Amino acid sequence: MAGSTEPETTDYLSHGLRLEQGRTLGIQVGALGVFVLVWWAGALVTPQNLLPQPPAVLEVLVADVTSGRVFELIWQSLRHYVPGLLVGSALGMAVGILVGWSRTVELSVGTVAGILRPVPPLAWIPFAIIWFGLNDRGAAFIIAIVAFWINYYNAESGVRSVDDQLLEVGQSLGTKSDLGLIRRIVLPSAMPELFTGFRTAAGQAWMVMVAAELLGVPGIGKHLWDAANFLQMQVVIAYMLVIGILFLLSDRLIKLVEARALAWR
Amino acid sequence: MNSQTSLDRSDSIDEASSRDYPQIRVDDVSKTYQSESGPVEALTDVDFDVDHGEFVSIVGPSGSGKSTVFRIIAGLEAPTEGVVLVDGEPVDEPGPDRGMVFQDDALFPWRTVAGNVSYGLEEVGPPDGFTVEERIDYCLKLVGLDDKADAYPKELSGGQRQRVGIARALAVDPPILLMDEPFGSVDARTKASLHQELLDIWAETEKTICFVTHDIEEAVYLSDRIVVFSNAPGTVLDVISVELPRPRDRTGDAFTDIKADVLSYFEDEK
Repeated sequence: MAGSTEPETTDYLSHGLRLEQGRTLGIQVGALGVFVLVWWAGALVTPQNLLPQPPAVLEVLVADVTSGRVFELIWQSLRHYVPGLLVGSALGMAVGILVGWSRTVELSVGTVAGILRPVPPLAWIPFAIIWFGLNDRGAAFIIAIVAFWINYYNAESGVRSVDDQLLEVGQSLGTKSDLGLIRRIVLPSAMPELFTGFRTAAGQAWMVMVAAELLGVPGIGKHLWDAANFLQMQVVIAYMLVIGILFLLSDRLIKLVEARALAWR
Repeated sequence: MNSQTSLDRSDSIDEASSRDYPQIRVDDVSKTYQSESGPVEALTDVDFDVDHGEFVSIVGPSGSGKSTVFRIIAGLEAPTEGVVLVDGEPVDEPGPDRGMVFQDDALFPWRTVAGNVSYGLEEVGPPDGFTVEERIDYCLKLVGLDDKADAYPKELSGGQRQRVGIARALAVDPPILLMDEPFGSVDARTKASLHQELLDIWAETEKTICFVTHDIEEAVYLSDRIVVFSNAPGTVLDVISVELPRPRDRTGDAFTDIKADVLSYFEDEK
């Protein structure tokens, strides 16, 4: 009889889990519904050019999805979003790891970083234009700066929080060089912080992307600005939603990879 | 001792001459730390030997510098004065000839049980006569965890984690095992069975074991000799031989006499 209790328990648990998941989904859908209703109610008493009603926005989305315009714009944005995020994150992680690891690098590079850190990313736009021009590379540069700082600080604190005892064990088991210790102990140990940094940067990069495209680099942000100039607020809201969805998708994707890579936690 | 071929030290020392030295000689070691309120003396003229294959415990109250002497033997810290010799060679850094086991297991959480044991093998290669896989298997069997090879440390109990720590240290076949209060945070029952397992492993592998603890009964149960440390600054008060046959009866008269003998040093201090 003892053997038969286990499947029942699992069944009961998965039933409870389904209920819980159903409840979660219910609340989320309900909240979105209320949000749309409040928006709609507000739009009814507001001129259409100040706050468009949901159906007008939906119309834009449906039309642009059918024509493929949305995907074209997403592709244009991804052409600077992805390289900017990847290059900025890689550099930020590399420098952050070195600053966290070495006192000398902390004092030298860390000091310079401390001065550059408070500069708002958008203040780099003049340099983006004169160094790279009004193109994907210029926009990628701005995105990379944002990604750099977020990854830099997460990597630095990740490396600092590595348990000294693990490094001592590594040394006693034959890892001699700094590079070996960083590769075999510091990196895997700091991996959770590196993931957090990358995920935060991926989110922030969507926001700064819109601003960077203000220069005239084609993409979702540029499209959004153009529509605003013609007071096509239903288009503005439609693409605000597109950015929101892209953010959620990228966040989910990174979380999925994270859950797999950090199964040991 | 074929493991020695994989270690740096073996190049300069052949088998015959290494036997002329004790396995570990702590030679007049003093350690002073610089603090903001001035120098703090942690160890003063500490002097003792550990012979080949011997099980020696270092006991002392907390803050007696016994962990400092552990770290100096391990090569994690340098003595201010004096020297630690392993097979006659001065120690200046940690190395695979001295396996380390810590109180809070210090396992690599991102590696499986087998991955933890494999770490040192990836660095210095398996001992003669083993492949990496065979060595992992042998070490896990030695500590009775061969069925947990693919588990992550978070899935293990405290006692199991300490066993993995021991298996990991033994993997590269070091002649010496340094253990810093390895059973300090496991419950009493687990502790008793770990004691027996450690003695079995010691008998099978013929390692030299240097074991730091504040648990006097543990020291008397396990050791050939007990080095008694004083309160800070740490000095060696006495070295007590435990000449009782194993397995030892923790409640026997001879056992409790030795326990009382060690304990008397700490009562005198107050």
